[in-house]
Amino acid sequence: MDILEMIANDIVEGEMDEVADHVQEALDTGTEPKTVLDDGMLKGMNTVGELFKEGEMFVPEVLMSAKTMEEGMEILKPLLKEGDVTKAGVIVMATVKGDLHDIGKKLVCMMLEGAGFEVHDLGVDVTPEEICEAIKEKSPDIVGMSAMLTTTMLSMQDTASMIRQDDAIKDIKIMIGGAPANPDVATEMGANYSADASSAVDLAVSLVA
Amino acid sequence: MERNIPNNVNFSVLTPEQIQKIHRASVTVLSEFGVKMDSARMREELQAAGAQICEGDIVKVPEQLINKCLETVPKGVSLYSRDGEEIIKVGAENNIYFGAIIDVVNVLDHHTNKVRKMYREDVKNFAVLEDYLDSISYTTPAGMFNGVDPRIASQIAFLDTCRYFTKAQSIVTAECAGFEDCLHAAQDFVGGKDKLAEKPFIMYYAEPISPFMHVDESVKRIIVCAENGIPITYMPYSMMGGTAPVTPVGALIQNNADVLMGLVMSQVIKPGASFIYGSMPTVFDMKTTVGSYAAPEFHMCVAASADLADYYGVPFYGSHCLSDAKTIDAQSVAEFEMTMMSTMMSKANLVHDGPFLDHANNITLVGLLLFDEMFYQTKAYVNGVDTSDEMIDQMLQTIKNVGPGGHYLEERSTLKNFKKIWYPKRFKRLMQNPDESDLMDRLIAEVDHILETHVPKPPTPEQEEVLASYEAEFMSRYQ
Repeated sequence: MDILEMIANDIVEGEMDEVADHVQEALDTGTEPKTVLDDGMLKGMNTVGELFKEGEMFVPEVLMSAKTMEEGMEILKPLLKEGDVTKAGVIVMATVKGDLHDIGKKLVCMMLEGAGFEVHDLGVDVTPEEICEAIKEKSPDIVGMSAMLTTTMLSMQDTASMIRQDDAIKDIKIMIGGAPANPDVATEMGANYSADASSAVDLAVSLVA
Repeated sequence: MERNIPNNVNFSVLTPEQIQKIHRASVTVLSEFGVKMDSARMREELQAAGAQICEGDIVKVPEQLINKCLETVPKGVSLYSRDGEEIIKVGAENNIYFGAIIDVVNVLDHHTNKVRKMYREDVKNFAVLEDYLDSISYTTPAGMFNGVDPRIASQIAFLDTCRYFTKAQSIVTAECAGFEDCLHAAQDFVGGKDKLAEKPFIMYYAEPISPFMHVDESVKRIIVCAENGIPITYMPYSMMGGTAPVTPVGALIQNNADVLMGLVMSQVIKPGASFIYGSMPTVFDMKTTVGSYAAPEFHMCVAASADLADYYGVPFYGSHCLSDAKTIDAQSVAEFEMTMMSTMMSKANLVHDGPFLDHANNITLVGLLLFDEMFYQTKAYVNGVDTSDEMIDQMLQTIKNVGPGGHYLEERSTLKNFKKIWYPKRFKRLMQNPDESDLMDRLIAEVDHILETHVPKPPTPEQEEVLASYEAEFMSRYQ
């Protein structure tokens, strides 16, 4: 197995203790940092995505792979030139006002990061004003909103209307998710719906394409 | 040693006091009321061992003799695969194993979900699928399929099961003579009577006619098994209100007395003979006259009988996946699940019968896959709660790490333990379920795929010669 395959394998297997050594070894033997990234680590993450979709990998394993990716990036980052890393996109995420449920949104954030998105997680119980402010500040491609309760779905709608009425940010793409959400509700507020974390990543990718 | 399927849910139907009461009552029945014993030889053997014979064929068994036989009866049973590997070992660990059926009169065609007659080619299909499923340790050729003279159908079913099923067999025949044919074939198959007795891959089954009729045919079976080193299950099938008292306790007293009678017979013929306690005290449905296969009282009483067998230290023959419905539908699956759950929690060791539909009138290949799913599902349930000191420490550390409002997705303990949680193979947990269920289509496709691709290990050429020569002899009898 060549060193790039070993790195890809480290990512798939979540070998956090070994990935740094292998990345270093690849660099020491003259492999370009961008090659290590593209043909080693990202190749591994692609495999992770496929295995998860096929039901062969489970959520905790995917997160371990993402952490392993971060470990490798620690070494690689200072050596990469501008343009070597293609960001998949920028996304602002929040659980809306009145809702304290975190796990679903957090999972989506972690999966998006694993897929190469720059994610700004605003946390839980975030007001429409705070969300609009963050959009202006971070200039994301997408804003993602989560709600667990039927009552807080109303906050989601309030936030969406506030975004749509503000000329500076009204064209931003909106994603929603959570137990009470569904495609019809999304359409009503001019947003996009995904049912789970994995399809949220697919949706985000398609929205920035 | 740990149990093969850890059971940490502490389920019993009967308390120790209730067990004592039923035991005492059964002893009263046997010692004071007596049972009917057709077999002259058995009456003589029992009399010589201390039983009292009255009114010609009524036998009364003193408590002393019952206790003596409970001392000599083996506390476990081992069964072997067709090729001599020990695959069933019931002993101190109280292991549990599941069986299935090879043939009955009708089959529920898995493509159409409609009942039709069962034929020999169906026997092969059931054997192949049951061979494939790891959840099944033994099966039952019964010789009820169509197209072959009924006097040799059990023998043919047995031979075909030897060909296409590599695990153990619990043979059912209409008459003991049919079993003796199978026994001789099995002895030649493994190289002799002693070899089969040393590593039996077959067991047999007999039942009294409730209430308390130990007919010649049943007694003969006990004798043949004891003399040939073959484990036997003695299992009264009684119907509360019809062939048993109408209350659960009445049926339990009666069945327990009849099983103890079988146990005494086996030990009188040969102390140390392998014996399995079976009991099917069901409900006689007063609306339809059906002896229900899925009444909750029935399965509660089967689990209670397992408590009694456990008290005596004798292996218990349980029942799983039984239904009164004719097809795979909402009723049959609900009844399968209840019976499966009850038996998995109980102290049963060898669990037979399923998946049986229409009160044992038909069987289905798709049902075997449903059984397989429920096997792993209920196995996960009875695993219970691990409260070891090590686990408590690990959990306290994890809870402390995460703190209020945090999440456990990235905790090491999550990564280490999440795969201990059961994931269904065929049932779905999709975030967005399809509007219409496709489960049946997937089950049908899976059955077809297994039948197309699974090739059970064949017997050796010498063994196949034995099977072929017996088949030729059986077939020549009624031409």
